[in-house]
Amino acid sequence: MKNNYISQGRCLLFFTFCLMLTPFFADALTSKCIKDIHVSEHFNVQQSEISGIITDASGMPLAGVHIIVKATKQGVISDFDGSYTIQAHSKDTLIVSALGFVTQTISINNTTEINIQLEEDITQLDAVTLNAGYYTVKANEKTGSIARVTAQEIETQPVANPLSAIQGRMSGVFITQNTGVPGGSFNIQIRGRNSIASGNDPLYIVNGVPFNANNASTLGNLIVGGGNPLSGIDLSDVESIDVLKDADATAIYGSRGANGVVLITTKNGGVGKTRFDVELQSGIGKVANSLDLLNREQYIMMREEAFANDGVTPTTANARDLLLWDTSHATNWQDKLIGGTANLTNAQATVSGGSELTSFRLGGGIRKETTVYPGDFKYKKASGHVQLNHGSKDQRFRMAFSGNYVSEVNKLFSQDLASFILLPPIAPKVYNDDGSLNWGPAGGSFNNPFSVIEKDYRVKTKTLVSHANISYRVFNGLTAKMGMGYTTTQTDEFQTTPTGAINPGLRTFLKAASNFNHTTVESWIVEPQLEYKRDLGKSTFNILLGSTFQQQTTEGQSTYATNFSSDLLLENVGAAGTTRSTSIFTDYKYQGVFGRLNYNYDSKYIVNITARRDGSSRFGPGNRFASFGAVGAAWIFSKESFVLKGVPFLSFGKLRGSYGTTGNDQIGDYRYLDSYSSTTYPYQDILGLRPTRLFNPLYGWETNKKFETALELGFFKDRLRWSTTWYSNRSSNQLVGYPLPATTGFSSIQSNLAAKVKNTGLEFELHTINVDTGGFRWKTTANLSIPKNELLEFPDLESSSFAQIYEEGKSLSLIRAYHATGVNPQTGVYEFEDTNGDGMLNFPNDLQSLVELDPEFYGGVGNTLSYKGLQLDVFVQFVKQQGYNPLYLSGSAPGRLSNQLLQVLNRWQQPGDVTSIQQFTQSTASNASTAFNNSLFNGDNRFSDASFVRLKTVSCSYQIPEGALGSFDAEIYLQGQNLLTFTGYDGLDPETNRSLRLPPLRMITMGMRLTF
Amino acid sequence: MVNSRLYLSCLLGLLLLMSCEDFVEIDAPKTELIGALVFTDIQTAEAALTGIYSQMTEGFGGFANYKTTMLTGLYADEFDDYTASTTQVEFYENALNPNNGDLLNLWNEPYSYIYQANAIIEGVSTIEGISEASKSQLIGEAHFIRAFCHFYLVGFFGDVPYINTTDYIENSEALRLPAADVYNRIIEDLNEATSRLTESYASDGRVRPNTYAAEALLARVYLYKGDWGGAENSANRVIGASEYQLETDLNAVFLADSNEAIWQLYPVITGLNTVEGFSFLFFSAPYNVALRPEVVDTFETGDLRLSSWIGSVTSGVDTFYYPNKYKVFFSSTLTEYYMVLRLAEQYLIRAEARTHMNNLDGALEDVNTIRNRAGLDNFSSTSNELILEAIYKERKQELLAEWGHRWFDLKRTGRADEVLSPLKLGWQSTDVLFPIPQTELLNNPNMTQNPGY
Repeated sequence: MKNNYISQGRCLLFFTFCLMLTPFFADALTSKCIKDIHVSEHFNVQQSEISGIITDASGMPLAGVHIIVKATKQGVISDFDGSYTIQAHSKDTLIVSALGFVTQTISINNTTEINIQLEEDITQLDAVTLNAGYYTVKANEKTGSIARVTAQEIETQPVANPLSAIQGRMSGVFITQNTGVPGGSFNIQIRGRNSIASGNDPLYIVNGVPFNANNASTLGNLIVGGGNPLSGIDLSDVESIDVLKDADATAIYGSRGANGVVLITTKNGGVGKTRFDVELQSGIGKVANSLDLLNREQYIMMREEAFANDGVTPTTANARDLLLWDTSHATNWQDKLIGGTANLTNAQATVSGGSELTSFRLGGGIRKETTVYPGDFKYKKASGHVQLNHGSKDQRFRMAFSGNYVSEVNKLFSQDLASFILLPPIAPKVYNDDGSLNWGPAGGSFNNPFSVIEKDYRVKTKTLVSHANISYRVFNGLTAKMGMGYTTTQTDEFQTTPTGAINPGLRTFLKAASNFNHTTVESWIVEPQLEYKRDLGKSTFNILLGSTFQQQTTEGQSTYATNFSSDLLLENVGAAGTTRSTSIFTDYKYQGVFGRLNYNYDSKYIVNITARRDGSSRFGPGNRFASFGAVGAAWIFSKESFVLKGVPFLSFGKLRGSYGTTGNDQIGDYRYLDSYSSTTYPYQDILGLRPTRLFNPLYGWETNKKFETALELGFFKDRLRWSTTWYSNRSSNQLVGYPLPATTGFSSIQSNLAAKVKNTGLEFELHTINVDTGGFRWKTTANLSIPKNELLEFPDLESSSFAQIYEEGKSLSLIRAYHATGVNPQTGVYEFEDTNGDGMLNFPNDLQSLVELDPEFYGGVGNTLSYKGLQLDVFVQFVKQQGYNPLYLSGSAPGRLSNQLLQVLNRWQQPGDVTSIQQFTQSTASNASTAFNNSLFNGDNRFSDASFVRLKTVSCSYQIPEGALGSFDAEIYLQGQNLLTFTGYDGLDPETNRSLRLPPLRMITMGMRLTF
Repeated sequence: MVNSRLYLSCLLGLLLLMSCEDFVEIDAPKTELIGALVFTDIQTAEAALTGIYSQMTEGFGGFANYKTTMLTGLYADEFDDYTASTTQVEFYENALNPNNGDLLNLWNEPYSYIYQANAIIEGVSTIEGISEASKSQLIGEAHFIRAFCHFYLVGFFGDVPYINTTDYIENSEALRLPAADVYNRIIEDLNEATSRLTESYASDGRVRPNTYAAEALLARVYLYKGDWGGAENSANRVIGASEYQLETDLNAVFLADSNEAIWQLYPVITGLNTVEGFSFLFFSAPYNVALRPEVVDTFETGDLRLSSWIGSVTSGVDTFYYPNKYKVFFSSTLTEYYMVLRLAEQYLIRAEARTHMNNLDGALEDVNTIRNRAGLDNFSSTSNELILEAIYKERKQELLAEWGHRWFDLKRTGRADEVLSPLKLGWQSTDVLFPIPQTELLNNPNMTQNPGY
């Protein structure tokens, strides 16, 4: 290994050395240019001072507007109150420009005060620059597929996680919020599921630094679903979230681009007077929906009928609820467990400012969310961020530094209480009269949900993302850059089981205990780059070359501790009489060389070529390196003269396409090694070993070939913009944990599978300005995605472990099921199609009903209405999909010891009844029970439509007229999240339909933003 | 400009050269040991072996730790269920779903140990520089474990693959071998084990198998196969060994230093003795399982096993019974080890074998040895049938709630239908075999399901 370190070190040192030499060489090369600048300064001695205020159409002052003197190219930037002062000749001309506004040219004509009203450039797209990671690109000139959500849209939502903020707002990006518990987890898929078994997560890049979004929580699965590290990003500091989707945009990320790339960029400092921004927000949240469940009488009736149907007499062993519990007492468990009101408080403060050379932004905030559960539980997030930019006076040397630090404390308990809402209504009271937990009468104990509340779960997460970018313009056109980043996520969690949470019958043995987990993920990245830009008449070349060195280490320790002298010491591992620890350590190294060549002819024909060669330590020696690349091209035909003349209402038209390859290395580390780890306990004196993996060094990259073509159109001076995209991605050489039968001693082995998965889809985006008169403006944005996932080919599928799971030509989400034919009116039991006609239902031969769980289509529609300082944003999200039928959520047949949906009352009762719900049963040996299990595990009746249309966001804000509050500018707002959901789904929530989880909450907040 | 171009090309060249293949080399993981290194010295190889015993007893229930006793007890006629947990109730009601989690474990866990045993058999022989005796001990124990695990697999599931290699490709397409052939392979393994293992134990106490442990299991396998001569021979060898005597005090049989023990598992969980003691004992109403009242009724008056090995709790008008062989609910002082093979069974094996071979006096002598120890008078009869009857009854009582003896006895003697159908609502003849777990059918193209599922 020593050898390796030397050569690594050599590589890095060499480059650093080169970079350091750069200024010396550069000086000699460009001294001529510097002389020119001196000359022009000398020429401008006779000047007067011009000043004024710049406002928008409604009279609001505009900050950050560039005012440039045309002759001298000198410029200033307006302050946040819109004022500017500039030195200029009395006959000069000023060029006034700002992002999103029409640039104006104004002659000075001997005046000294010039107030300028800028007209908004309603299309904006000309000026919008998209972040493509290693480079930026004008929205109109992009050759790839990049979707963006900016701070404006983010600010309308009272959410804490970046994924929540973009949900429904981007075509091709499907996000599911798994739980309404603060700090909870999300799923994201960009253009479908590419990989059968390795990760389908996109690559996250925060300010240029890869961000590890794999959760580090090991104890929080039952309450926060493992959590999501992205909540360690301070959303109020986010300027934009860009998602790269096609090969053209992602191939430069090579091996990690297969599932798309999510770029998160934080806000920059301003220019001019120091500006303070303060935001205060508070609100409440509740579970928006409740299940219709059986009440006390109905429940008892169900149980009694079940016993009668089975011909079984209730005894204390099989009917503790009827015989031992107080059947006259009823509890509304939904109300008791998840019926509370959550509070949200959010406060943010930022100070920003700077000169033309140096700007800064410094801020911080706190956010606090409580829960809908009974008890004092809360999620707190404190954040601090700093952003510094500096450029040398000649603008050749630039540096930017950003640091974002977030500390989260989530104080919860061990398990989501929503999983208990199907407790029988007659389950015993949670507390005894003396205030202790009630465990039920002798012989009739019940799993008291409030014991879960006694088990603290606390997770502290500290996230630091820092990045520095240094660039130096060697000579005109050539810039050398060095990007350096460091991120660390520290997770500290513990979960306690105090004596009070243990059933007294078991307390003699089960001792109070705690689990501790500490994980630190650290990652550094160094990316030296060279950028060269050359204009040759109408042609422009952009060349980028760079390389990446990245290392990520994960270290952690989990400790189980028990035998505490007192329950008060449960959080102190040192006070435990007995502890057992396991350690985690993984090392991931990654290296790549990348390049981009962009050729632009007259902003009409654009070709973009990107390539990358990557190596990853996750593969065995010899399989580590692979090359990826893509070509993208665009033709802006609206600039052709025949279009300009022939179709005058077409303001923009572009045809673009791209093709290329990307890869996926999302498997765990060290998978190619066979390994043994220690057993938990020694056997007498010898600490044993157990095998943990089979040996297999042969697997390599999973590759994803992406093709896309798109048509982008703008009509009526871009008041209507429409884009249609069709993509077709194929991933092959699938990396799978190939499931093995237990006869091998293991459950799976890592390997490549010659299977191909195809994702195709259509994406539509629409932006319109419906009304724009007299200060009133109504804008609409809409997106729609129609994805299709297909297993294209799978050699020897029939004889493989996947034979019963997948089928060529079908989606990877395929589930083979027995086809339920309804309830037999004679027997009152669910029946299934006996496809092979052998008179019985066999597994797997009769699993012939094919169900696919992918969304059929999804999207969102947003409307923004503004009039003067008043603005209303309404966003609706919709999804068409199949989900899990809530009838089977309890996992117990109606009739057994669990509450059920009210609709079970439509059950079969006597021969001749025609209904969709079978008879009640409580035995596991009855035919009805077998039929229920067939439904629960293998029936197609366990699925139902889980489509929904959700009023996701409503935000109403009012900008208080300037001057009303003295030197303060203020905006007040009212926001609502998840206000209404239209669905035919009978469960708690169609989005979280897989299990009984707390659904995303309905939130209503109000707040204000102050600037001074 | 010439200078600048030169400079540019130099720098670009440098950047491209910086694809350092060495950079992505990483060190071995710090928290694991690479397989190839395990079988380079005797200590790590021994750790790989004792790791198996440790895994057997480390959970709060597994195939080799309480679950076999409890689940087969529910499935047969030993236990009533008080948990209302679906996985347990399905055993109790003989209505196993191939997705049952406990069932899955009864299949997966033994095969995991079999892989580990095979890795030891293959790996230890390659270690250089250690004595043949040390190798022989490890390999012998591995053969024993392989036989032991297959024995329970064939008992639960009937025809099962016999796995004797670590080659996962071969094993992932393993065919079900007819049960009779599985027993033959088990016998081969046990013969290998008896010849490799010594009379002394490699451990402190009897927690690692010796040659007699292999012989004792061999006696049982012969009995199950109906090879009466083989059963008697093997039982003879164990009973004749001076190491083993029946404990006169029934309360001493399951202690750590029991003279009756042939092989025990050392309980590794801190603060606990056996998981069975912890799981079966109750002090108010039952919440897990309790013995069926009929089990208690069949004991003869004066049978000391009733008072020594069965506990009871009266709650209201009802009295509930629990197995009290292991008396320690929990304690950090270890006094009880988990009994796997003990001498009393060998007497009953020999009695049964002798009956079939018409050595009725010998059979009566053996069965009365066990009866006398329990404080009962001699049984006498001249009818093979009645003696067999008496042996079955003695097995039911002596081996009550131990490692599934009752269930396997009902099966191998063909009495499962006759005994269980009156007791169990949903009993079907095909229930004598558990279903093959569903995941196994998914993952092995050659796997087939048992009839009735």
